[in-house]
Amino acid sequence: MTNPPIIPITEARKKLGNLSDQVAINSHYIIFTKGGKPQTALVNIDYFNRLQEEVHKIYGRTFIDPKLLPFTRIFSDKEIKKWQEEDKL
Amino acid sequence: MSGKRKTVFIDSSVFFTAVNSLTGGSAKLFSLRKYRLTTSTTVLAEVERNILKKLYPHHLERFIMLTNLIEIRNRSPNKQFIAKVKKIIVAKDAVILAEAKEAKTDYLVTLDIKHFFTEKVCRFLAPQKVITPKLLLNLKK
Repeated sequence: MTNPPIIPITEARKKLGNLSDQVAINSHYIIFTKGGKPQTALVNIDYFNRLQEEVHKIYGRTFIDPKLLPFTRIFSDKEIKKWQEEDKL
Repeated sequence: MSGKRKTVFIDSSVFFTAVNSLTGGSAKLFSLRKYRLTTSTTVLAEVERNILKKLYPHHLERFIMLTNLIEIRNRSPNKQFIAKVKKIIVAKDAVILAEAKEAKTDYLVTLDIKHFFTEKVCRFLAPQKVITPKLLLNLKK
């Protein structure tokens, strides 16, 4: 799969209709950036539906429970790297 | 197999690393039949949340596969006990330490050396022992 087009949101605003046609015909999605960072994506609806079906098939089972989320946290990249180092045999 | 299998509570750092790396001690732990591995739904929720945020879709498949190899304690976190445990360890690790203590396993296996390998934590957990995957694998030999 080739890399998706990446466009600044300021540029995309001016030609959203054309981009939508482009995604519908030629590509799966276009990524929009804001301040140089990826922020949102314009996704082909068929591709989006297929993705949702696949995700549902593969990840139908989840342990994410809203009641448990307050007891969890997001790991930092630094600690993930440290754990991998410590885990080496 | 003779004798009762030793029980091991897997914390989030070990579970996440077992998903993230196929060749480390954490992943190898899941292949051992000598130990009965257990964890909590809180650990699994935390690991899954981080896989979605930090890793790739194929890691989620591996995560689900590993959950089939482990006993899952399905109890709500005990807020009062967690509050007490915050006096023993930094707040971010209090839930895990509280759940490991309540699980009454023989070992708590973790990769977080800095926060779990302290005298205070070891005294609190006793007779349970805190250990890294690598050390636990070496016990086997």
